[in-house]
Amino acid sequence: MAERVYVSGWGIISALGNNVEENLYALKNKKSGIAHPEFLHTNYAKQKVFGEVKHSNDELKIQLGLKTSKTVSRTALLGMVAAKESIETSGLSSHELKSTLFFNGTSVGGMDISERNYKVFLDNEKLDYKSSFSGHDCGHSTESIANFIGSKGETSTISTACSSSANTIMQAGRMIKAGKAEIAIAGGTDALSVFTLNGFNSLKILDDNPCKPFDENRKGLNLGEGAAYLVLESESSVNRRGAKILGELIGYGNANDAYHQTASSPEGTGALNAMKKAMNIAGNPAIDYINAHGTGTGNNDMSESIAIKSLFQENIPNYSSTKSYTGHTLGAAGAIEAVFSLLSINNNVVFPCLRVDSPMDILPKLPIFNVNDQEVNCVMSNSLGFGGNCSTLIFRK
Amino acid sequence: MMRAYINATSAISPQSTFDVDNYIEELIPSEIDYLKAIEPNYRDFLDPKMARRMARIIKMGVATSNKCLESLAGNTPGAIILGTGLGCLQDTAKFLKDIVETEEGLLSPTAFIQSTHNTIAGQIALLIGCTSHNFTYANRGFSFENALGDALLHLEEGNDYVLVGGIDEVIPETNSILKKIGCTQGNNDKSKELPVLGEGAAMFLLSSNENEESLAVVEGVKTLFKPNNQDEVIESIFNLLIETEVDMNQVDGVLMGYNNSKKDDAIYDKLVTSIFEDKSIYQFKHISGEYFTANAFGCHIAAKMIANQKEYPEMLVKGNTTNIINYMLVYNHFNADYHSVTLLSKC
Repeated sequence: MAERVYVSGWGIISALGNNVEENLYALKNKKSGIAHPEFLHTNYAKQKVFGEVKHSNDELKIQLGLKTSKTVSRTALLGMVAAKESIETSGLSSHELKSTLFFNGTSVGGMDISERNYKVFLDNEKLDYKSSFSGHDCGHSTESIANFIGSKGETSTISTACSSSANTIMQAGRMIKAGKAEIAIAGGTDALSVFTLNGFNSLKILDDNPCKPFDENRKGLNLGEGAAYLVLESESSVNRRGAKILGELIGYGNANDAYHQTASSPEGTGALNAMKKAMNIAGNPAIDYINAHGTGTGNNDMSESIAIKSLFQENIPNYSSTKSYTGHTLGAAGAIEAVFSLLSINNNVVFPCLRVDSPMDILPKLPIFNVNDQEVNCVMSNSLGFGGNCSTLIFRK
Repeated sequence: MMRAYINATSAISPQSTFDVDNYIEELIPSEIDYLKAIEPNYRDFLDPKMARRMARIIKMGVATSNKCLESLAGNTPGAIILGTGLGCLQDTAKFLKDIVETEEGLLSPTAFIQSTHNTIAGQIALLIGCTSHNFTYANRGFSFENALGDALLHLEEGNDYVLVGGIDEVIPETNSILKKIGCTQGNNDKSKELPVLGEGAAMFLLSSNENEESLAVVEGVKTLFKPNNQDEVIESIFNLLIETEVDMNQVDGVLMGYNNSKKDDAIYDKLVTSIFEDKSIYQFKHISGEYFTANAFGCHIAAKMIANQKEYPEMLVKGNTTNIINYMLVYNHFNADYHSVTLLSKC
C-alpha cells in the first residue's frame, strides 16, 4: 500500500512578505509586491519593475541570526528564511531534522554573487576568488541551507528553470509514496540577478509595467524573487508525531513539451500532459481552483489556456495567476505557488489575477478578479518552464 | 531495491571512449591545462547548421544519448534524467561577458537560452520528440547519483526504459577560477597534490527487464552526505550489499575515484587496507579528470568492464587480473562531503 503524502509545514519569503502570514495578508488585500527594485543593481532599475524581497542581504542575515561576515548568496539567504519557517511550523525536532531529506530547486543558485565579480575576473584584477565564485553552483545553495537548518539527511537539487521547485515537491512526494523517505523538506529559492534579467530582456518577454496575466493586452512578465518550502511527510510519520496537517499532495505530473527551447507549443501539449498525469495519479478529483503558471507573456498564457480548455472542456475551475502579485520567481515559483494553493485550501479563499482589464477569450470562464471566499478542497498548481519542462501539482484538504 | 538493466551506455571523455572500435586502446596525454573531452564528429548525429549553433556540452549530451537510444529503434524512453554539477558553462560565461562588455546593452538571447541547466535534457527530448518526464539534477557531487536514484524509482513505478546520465564541461575560465580557489591544479603542474579538472558525458539506457541488449545490471546505489567518519562510509557500503543481497566475497573488483589529492585519496587507501584488502582495485579519474559528475564515467567504465569481461590495465591500481567479473563496486566521493557507492553486476 503506497504511503499518503501530507504537508505538515510551510515557509515562504516573497515580495509579499517574510512569512506565511504576511503573504496571506497581502494576497487577501490585493497588495501586489511589484515595484522598482531597491537592491538589484541594474541599469534597468528605473525602467522595469520586479517582485523584489524588500530586505537587503545584511538585513536578511540579521533576521537569520547569521553572524558570519562570509559572502552568502541571496539565493541561499532567502532559502534559509523560508526553510526555517517550514521547520518551525512543522514542529520537527532537531533530532528528526538529522534524517530529514532536503530537496531544493533553483535556476541560478549563487549567480547574484558570481555576476558581481565577473568583470573583475575578466579584467584580471585582484579578487578573493573563493568568496566570489565558490557559491556559484546550484548545489552550493542547497548545501548552505541544509547546513543552516541542521539537516544531515540526503540533499537533492533540481534545476529545471521555472519548474524547479514544483519538481522538488513532486520528487519528495514520489519518494515518500514509494516508502523511500518519511520526511522531506522540499521547495526552492531564486534571487533576482542581472543575468536572468538581461536574459529575459533579450527574449523580449518582460513587461516594463506590472504584469497582466490572462489579459488580452498582456505585454510580458515581471521577474520576482523569493523562496518557499513545504515539509512533506508520510501518513505514518504524521500519525507518530501527531503533526498538524496543512493538506495532502495527491497528484503530480511532469512532461516535456518537446516543442521549442523556450517557447510553449501553441496547443500546450506539455502543460496538458502534465495536468493529465497529475489528475490520473490524484484519481480525477473535482478541482476547485487552478493556480496557473500565468506568467503574463503572450505565449504562455495562450498555450496554458488552451491546455486548460482541452482538459476541462466546458467545466473550467476558477483560476488565476498570483504572479500578478509576486512576479515570476523562476526556480522558487512552484513552491511559492504551492504555499498559496495550501493557503487557499486552509482559508477557503481564492486569490485574484490583478490588473485584468480585458480578459482573454480563450476560456469560457473569466479569471478570478476578486478575493473570493469559496469552499476549496482541491487545488491544481501549474509550473511550466524553459526547455519544455512542464509540471503540475494537486493538493487536497 | 530495484535492479536495472543497462541496455546501452556511451561516454565522451578525455580519452577515446565514444568510438567503440577504438575503446581506450592507449592513453593519450592531454596537451592543455585540464583534461579535455575528445569529441566525435557531430555531423553524424546533427545537421551541420544545428551542430554549429549548439553548445558543446549539449552536443556531448545529444551524441551520447543518441548512441544509447539506438536500440529503442525510434521509440522514446519513459523518462530523461540528467545530472550536471555546473551545467552549461560556455554559454553562461558568454552571456555574462556580453552583459559586462555591453554594460547591459542589447543582447542576443542565444547564449542565455543555452545557459540553463535543463537545456541539455530539454534538447535531447526536443530532438527525439520525447514528451515524457524530464528532470535535471544540479547537486554538486550527487548530481549524477540523484539522477540515477530517480531513474531506478521510475523503473519501479512501471517505466520500461529510462535514459539517465551525468555531464559536465570545463571552460578555460572555470579552470582558471578553480585553480585560483585552490580546488584543482594544472595538468602539467606537479608541484601540488590537487586534482586535475576534467569533463565529459556518460549516458545509460536503463531497462526494467532483461533482454538480449542488456550489458550489465545496476544492483543499487547509495549516497552518504557528509559522513562523520570512515566507519559510516564502510557501514554504507555494507548496507548496500545487504540490501542487494550480495556478499562482499562475491565482489570481484572495486573502481574508486582516486584523484591525486592526498586529502581526497586518504579514504580510498583506508578502504583498500580495511575492507577491500583482497580485491582488485581500479581507478578512473586519471582518464576523466575530476568533476561533479565524474562518477557517471566511473559507472560507465564499470559497466564496460562487466559487459566486455575485460579490464583495462591502465586502470588497475592493485591486485590481479580477474578471470570473470561478476560484481563491481564503484565508490567515489567529492570533496569528502558527497560519497556514493554503486553496485553493478553481470547479467
